[in-house]
Amino acid sequence: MEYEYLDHTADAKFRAYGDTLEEAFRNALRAMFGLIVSVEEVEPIAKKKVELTAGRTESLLYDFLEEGLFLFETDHFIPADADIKIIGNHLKATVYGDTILNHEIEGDVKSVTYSDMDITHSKGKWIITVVVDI
Amino acid sequence: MKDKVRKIDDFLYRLEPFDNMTVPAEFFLNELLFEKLEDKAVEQLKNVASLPGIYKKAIAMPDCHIGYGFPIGGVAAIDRENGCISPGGIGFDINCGVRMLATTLTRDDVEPNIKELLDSLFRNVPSGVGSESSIRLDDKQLNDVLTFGTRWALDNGYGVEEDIIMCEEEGRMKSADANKVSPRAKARGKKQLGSLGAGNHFLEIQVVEEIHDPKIAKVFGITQKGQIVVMIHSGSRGLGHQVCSDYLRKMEDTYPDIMQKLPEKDLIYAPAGSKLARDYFAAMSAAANFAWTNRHIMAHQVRKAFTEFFPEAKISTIYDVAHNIAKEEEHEIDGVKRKVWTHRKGATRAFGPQSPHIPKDYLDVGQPIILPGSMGTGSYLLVGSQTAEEQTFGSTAHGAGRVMSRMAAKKQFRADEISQELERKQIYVKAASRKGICEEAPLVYKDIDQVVKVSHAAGIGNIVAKVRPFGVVKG
Repeated sequence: MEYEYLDHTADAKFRAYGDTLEEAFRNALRAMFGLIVSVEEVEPIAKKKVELTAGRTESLLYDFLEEGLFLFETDHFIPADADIKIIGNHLKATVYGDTILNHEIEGDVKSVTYSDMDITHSKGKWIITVVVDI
Repeated sequence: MKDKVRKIDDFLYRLEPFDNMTVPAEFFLNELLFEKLEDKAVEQLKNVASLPGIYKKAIAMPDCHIGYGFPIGGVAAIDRENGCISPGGIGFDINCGVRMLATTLTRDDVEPNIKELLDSLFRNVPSGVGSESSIRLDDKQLNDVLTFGTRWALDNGYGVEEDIIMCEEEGRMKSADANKVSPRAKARGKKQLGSLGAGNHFLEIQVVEEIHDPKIAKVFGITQKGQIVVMIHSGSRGLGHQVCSDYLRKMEDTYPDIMQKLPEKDLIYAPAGSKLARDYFAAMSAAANFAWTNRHIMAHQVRKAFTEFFPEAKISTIYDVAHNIAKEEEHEIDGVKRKVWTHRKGATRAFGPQSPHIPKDYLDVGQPIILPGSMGTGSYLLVGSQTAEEQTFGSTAHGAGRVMSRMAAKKQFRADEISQELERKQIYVKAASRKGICEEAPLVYKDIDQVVKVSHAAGIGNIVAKVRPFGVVKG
């Protein structure tokens, strides 16, 4: 499973999985955009580069997801997939996706939050939990 | 945690200080609303009661529910010299709020044209996820909006002078500094001025259903049942969210030791006296100005659409209130006047009669409070009070508050069924997204009647009138 949605009264909460931290980051991005469009149907028609440095893994994740929202709002780009490299607290990624004009918008994400954010590594699996403000 | 909360009277519950709490946490709830209160929301208010420099008590409004950092419906007055300012006590959508307009029309006047009118509003007020306005601002113009707020709009041909006067802060916080708003935040806001957005934001044509206080209603411009009014619920769009995010991250990077100790990271704050506290407040004020200008421009479009159909109609602003904001205020605390940042996160200012901060025309009655409900139920117009100033640092509820997640709502409801059900009740809906209708279905909200009942009974916001939706534009 790439990701799943958990119940949250006022906002949206999801859990993303990965064999590597990078894969879990990618799936978290997909989970977040899954709230906005049918993310499986987004073809990798265009790509963009993302490069970030942050103080902690959690803030790196926060910034990465925020960057996704920024691209969405300012460039009308849906980043639905990503090749990610994380070294320490530095992230380099190529994100793939399509323009929003080709997709039906089903929901909104206003912002990433730290509420209940969790990144754990156990039994060879990375598990990321995020609540976004919608 | 909830089991530690004690009932004080029919409308008040209290959590006495323990752990790091320096003040008690108080909840303005009746039994019904207390039952629905989440344990996590109690924990969040406990965390607020542990913030440095908080005075007297952390307070939950009747519509309190889980938020991030502060609970939604959380209010705190925090010392401006020895305390702190927390973006999580204001919210991502800075100055999300409501503007209410009175018209000289009645339901009978509008009924024959309701669908066409709704179509026209839907065309003229951009709504939906990532919605963009037809207004294109260059860098200087955007800076002017951030600096001067609604005054910029008036100078550029939107609205009338009265719209500015009948607005919290007269649509401009002078503490704003556009230079403290990041280029990223500006890039997000540039194309969004005059747009509704999505989620729970809406534009509603409403009908006055009940008038509880005819004298005060009249002062606010509401004279009869059946009168048409309009409500615009929106905020600072992407610009405000980015300001919140930017400063949350800056505070985290600047104060890792504070971050480390916090039970919830969204509660991060900048200590009073720090440059970051000053910068954030200046940027937040700028985002607030953007939001007021946003609602001001949408109100202008509403007025234009109405007068196309009804050239004789007069449309005036009743008031415009912020729901997510911090204000520099002075409150008397244990006999001493204190300079505080009043954090209102999902809460409305509720100043009473003779407050120097409300329009002159309302001095005898108090400040209007606008509480938007859900599509199927109603919304309320209340009035602020001296009691609110004494009990809640001049604050009350901001709306209904959700009880069902958006996920669950999407699973449970179908958009066409809800639209039909509403149409049977003669409520017409135009939505940018069909799923948006499900997410905002009437049943996902707490009963707003209960919220208002508590506000009124506790005396922190008194009922003036109830309105019901007639035509709804949803994001």
